[in-house]
Amino acid sequence: MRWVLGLTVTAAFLNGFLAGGNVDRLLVATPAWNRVGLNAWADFSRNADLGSGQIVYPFMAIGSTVLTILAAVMFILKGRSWQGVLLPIAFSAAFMVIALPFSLKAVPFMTSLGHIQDGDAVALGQAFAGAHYWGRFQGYFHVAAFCAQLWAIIALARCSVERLPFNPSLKCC
Amino acid sequence: MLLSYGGFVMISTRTRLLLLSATLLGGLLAGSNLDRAVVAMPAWSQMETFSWAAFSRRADLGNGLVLYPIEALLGAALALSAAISYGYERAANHSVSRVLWSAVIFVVGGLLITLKAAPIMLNLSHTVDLATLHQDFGQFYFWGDIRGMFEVLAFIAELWALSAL
Repeated sequence: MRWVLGLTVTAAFLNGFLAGGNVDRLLVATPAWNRVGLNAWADFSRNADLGSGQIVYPFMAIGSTVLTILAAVMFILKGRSWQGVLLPIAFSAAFMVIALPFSLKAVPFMTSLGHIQDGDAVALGQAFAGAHYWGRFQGYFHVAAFCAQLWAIIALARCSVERLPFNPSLKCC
Repeated sequence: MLLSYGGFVMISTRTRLLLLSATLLGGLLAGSNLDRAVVAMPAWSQMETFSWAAFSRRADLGNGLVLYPIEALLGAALALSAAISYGYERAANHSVSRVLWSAVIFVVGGLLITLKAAPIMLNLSHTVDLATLHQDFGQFYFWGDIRGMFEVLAFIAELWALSAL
């Protein structure tokens, strides 16, 4: 069970960063961009999301999703079915998987900035609206997955055999 | 509330919830800072400093004035409360306690660095001179990275402690 705990902790580590970035974007950056203007947003996004963000974001999202799914599969394959642990592990995996299509919907709007001219207000407006509409849902699911991952860590740590040597009735691990 | 199974004393729900909340906020704050350090600031450094200042006045000095202090101060209070609460546990273990107090030290370190970084940001509201803006950007970049490092370390320590409770 140490492997499942280790995978879940690593997944939470990666997804915590992703969730924090998403909350910041949702609550701080997007309202600010609405006031600063679309040309400045496009200029920044070309250097950020289409810069190092092209490596950092997929690494964290795919990495955390793979690790979470691996933890869930390992937990189930080991024949563990204690609901108190299975539930948060299943929720973590489900939320991470559900977030992926939203990310895929947001990506084309962001990559379109590579060929939209700064003066094209209509195209920039569509890119901004699309990226933030789908990015918002992606953010909700990353935050939900992060909460579920922390819940899973507590549940896994709590039912560790080493910590409950006198409790044979708890068949969680 | 102390939980006991067959004579084996477990860590209380209070301590677990305090640490869970601290880790949640610590993760969000670390994520926000890592995003800034790895993606946003390198991007801003390729753009005009005026653009960074214009955005920061509406972001960091906009909703950021509410979100960042909540994440940082509430997160610090929760981490400290979790460490103190753990100290009262009958099942407390020295190595977990050390990790928890390390998290508190990192969180406090992050807050102390904020005392250097925050005035630079607050000055932006009335700075218009390009040379001063360049200087502010460089200093904010430097202190922001150090603060981010402390927050990431605090998040790692909190996650470690959470998995060991």
